Amino acid sequence: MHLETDNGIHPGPLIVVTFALMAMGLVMVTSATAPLDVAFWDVAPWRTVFGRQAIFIAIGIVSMLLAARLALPVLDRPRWRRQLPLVLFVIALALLAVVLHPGIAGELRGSQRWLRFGPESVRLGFQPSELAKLAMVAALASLLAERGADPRSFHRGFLPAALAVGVTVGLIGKEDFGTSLIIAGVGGMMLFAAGCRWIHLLLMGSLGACGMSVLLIMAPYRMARLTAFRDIWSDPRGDGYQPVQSLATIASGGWLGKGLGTGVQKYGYLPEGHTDFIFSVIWEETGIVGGGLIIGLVCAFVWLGLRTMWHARTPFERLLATGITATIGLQAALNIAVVTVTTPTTGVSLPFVSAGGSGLIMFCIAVGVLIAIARRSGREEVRTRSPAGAATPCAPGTLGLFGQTLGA
Amino acid sequence: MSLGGGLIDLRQRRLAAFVLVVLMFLLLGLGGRLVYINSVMRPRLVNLARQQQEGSTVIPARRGMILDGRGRVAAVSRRMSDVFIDPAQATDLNTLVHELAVRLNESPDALLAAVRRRPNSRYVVVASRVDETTEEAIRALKNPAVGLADTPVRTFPLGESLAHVTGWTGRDGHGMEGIELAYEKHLAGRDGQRSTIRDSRRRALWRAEDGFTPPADGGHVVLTIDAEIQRIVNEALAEGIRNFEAESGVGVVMSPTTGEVFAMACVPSFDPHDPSKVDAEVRRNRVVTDPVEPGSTIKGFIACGALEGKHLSPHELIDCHMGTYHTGSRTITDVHPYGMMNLAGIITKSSNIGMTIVGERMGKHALHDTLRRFGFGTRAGIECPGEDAGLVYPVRHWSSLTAQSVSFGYEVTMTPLQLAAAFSAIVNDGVLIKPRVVKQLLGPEGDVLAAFDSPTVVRRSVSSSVARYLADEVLVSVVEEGTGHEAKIEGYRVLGKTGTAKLTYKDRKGYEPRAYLSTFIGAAPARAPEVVVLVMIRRPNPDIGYYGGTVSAPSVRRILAETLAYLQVPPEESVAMVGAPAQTAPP
Repeated sequence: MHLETDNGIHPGPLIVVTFALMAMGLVMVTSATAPLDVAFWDVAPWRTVFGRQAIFIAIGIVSMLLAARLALPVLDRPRWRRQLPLVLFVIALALLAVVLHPGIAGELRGSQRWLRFGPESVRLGFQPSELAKLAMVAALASLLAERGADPRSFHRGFLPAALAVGVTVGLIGKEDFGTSLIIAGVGGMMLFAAGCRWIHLLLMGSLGACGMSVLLIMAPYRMARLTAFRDIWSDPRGDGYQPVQSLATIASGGWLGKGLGTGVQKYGYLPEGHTDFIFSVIWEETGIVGGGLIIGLVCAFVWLGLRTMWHARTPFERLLATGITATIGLQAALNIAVVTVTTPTTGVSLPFVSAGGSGLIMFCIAVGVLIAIARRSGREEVRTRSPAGAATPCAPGTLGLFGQTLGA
Repeated sequence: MSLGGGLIDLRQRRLAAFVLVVLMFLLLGLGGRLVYINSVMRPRLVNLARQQQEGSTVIPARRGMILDGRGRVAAVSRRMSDVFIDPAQATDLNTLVHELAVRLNESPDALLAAVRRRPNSRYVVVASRVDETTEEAIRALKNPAVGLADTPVRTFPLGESLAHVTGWTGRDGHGMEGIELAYEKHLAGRDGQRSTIRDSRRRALWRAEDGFTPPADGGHVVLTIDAEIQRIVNEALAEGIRNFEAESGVGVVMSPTTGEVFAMACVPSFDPHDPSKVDAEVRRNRVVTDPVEPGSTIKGFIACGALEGKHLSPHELIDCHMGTYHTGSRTITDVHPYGMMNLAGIITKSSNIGMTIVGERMGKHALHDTLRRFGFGTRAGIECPGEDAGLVYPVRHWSSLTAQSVSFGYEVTMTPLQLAAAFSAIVNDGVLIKPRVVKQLLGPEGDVLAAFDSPTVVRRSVSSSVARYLADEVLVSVVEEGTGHEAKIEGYRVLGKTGTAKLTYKDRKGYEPRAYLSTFIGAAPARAPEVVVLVMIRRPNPDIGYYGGTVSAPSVRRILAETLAYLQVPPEESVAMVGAPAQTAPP
């Protein structure tokens, strides 16, 4: 691909893929939580998982579009894109610290991950780690690509970024091992993509491995999960219960699935069937059709993210696009790896599909940013690099105004 | 803006693209894992899922009835309900318990205690076998935490009268004894099954694939027993036992020509609804399970063998030694002293000495052969379980005294049923018919699956002429002028033979003084006997009487009189011919 012919990419496919994932998620979450003893319309919509998920998706779509619009001025102003990510990052770290402090945060499943607000009947909660994930991606992009940073330098590129990753992993890791794994992974990928030196990456990798080991040893339940993973059949009613049930759910679907709504494992056998283990339920009911579609859509998302990255104008946008795509792709991969017992159990959701609000909305905002990058793609590069002026100076679109100011 | 030139940009792009492509391959790699799960791991996992998801309920098959020969119900199953609580589904246990207590006429505390006693149980039975009204009241509660479980209850309308034949069923409804046991498979049918897919709290979601097998109800058994004759025998036995202060008694009424048993009774009896209340000894169908030494009733069979083997002629006179006969080391005595008598006289007067001489003349081989030909030592083959074969020692085990003992009914044992069947052979022209108690097997809808219409001939025990001579001449005179005169009834000529056997100690060797088994076996009407009747009364009070002719013959008389009337057998015209010359010449 030669840059001279770069006309940028259209954000449409990205939006389609994201909507498709959310739509599948809504259907399957509804199926996974459908009660048999109560008529669907007898329950207030906001009390059903379906209703709540629909509301989250609506908020998510609005957030996505807002983010797509609001990200543009940020991307275009060097000062903003230098400072805003760091401000967000600091807020996120502060919230994480607050969650860690007992008494303020609510406990869920033995882990402190939530900020709660609103009346008990509506039960709104917010997971700061979801914000932190994306704030860190933005902060890394800023630290590695702005204010004269050089990823190949230790002090001006690698160290601050590595510290940002380390602090985030440290704060989240105590309570949420899965998310911290994703953050570490995404951080590593961004450092690698930015072009950091191998020696630095190796150093960070070994330090990270030590840190992860400490986190593992700190929590007995993580060790138990690890042991259970080595042989899930040694204790299928105890530590191995969830992995075994997840596999049984997938296997009882077979190749073509039992049919939408006819799954059985969701009726109390498979814990977290509508959240972290939604993929198993999808496979049980729709087999390779639904399961393949999910994997295909996530791959398509990564591919579209890659294209967006490739066509992005600036290193900042490239790193941002890489980070966002990697976060969503890696989380999906880890989730499917967990439900297929390819890795030990750790609680991460399937992006856009699992029931839940914080993650969905944050990911929607991230996709909005990606859309914004896509919409800006191709333009400035063409202007600054085209020696022959073969390409059109201005890409079609509503945002030409910002593009022109940037050129100055 | 950008850090370096296009080269650095390109390098960054390529690095980032590399990272993301790796991520894509990771995702596709998980597809491989899913293939592995759905192929290699699948059987074990599917099996686990099915095991935890599927639950099945048994749909009990209805157990068939036992009917008597005329269709009267001897055993029938009714469905009743047990009431149970599933505490896990109760929203308000206290209210529930109070509501239930009113309907079950129980105290709420007792119900609550029952639930508390098994804190983790999902199935606490609070009342068993409730009636339909209660069932309706419970059902009207419409509380998911309360359930009714079908339990079949076996009822025996004839009760004690036929308990030894029908047997009984256990708590699970399966046959434990008698016809209930022998025809268990036919009566029980095959239970059906309903399999449902359940959630993790064992609540049914929907029916499993191939989840329904309908039950196949059990068939019915029609007995040859006639409940009315059975009643007659029971009452006659009870009367006999009462009159002679006896310990117990058994009775058999059967058709000599077809082998059908019309009545088979043991007194005292028991309640088949609650058999555990009595000893096992009382519950045994002693007609088929308890062999006894028959005493003088054996003499008819020995006489048949003697005549058949031409060991003596019917007219030959035998010296009965006036009541005392020394042979070898042994002295045999008669109740009354007799001189010279022919065979008919010996049987009529039941002379032990005469019979001993006949037996000695026959020799042990002929005696043994005679007994075996009448079916002794072999199970009669009736359908009742637990039948005993009796004991006829092989000839090589016979001592020098055995031939004498056997001649008047010792050192050989037989069940009352074997005795009745063998006696039937004499009155049936010498042909031994297999006795039976089952007439038909019906399907659940009443269709006839098997009917045992024709008699099963075991063998010819004795030639027709000898059998006729013995029946018409000898055994008739036993009743007309001999030891069995108590069995005479109006309108019919009766033939029969008495027997009085000494009983051994229950727990050691030797004969117990003043312990007797009093037997009478008879048949009527003499010309073409319709029924053979056997009555054995055990341990009558010897101060009142103990001879078979004294103790058991009156019972036989009563049974014969009532049974023949019930069966509407026309009285014989030639009753006046008592003592008339022989109509049938002996061989």
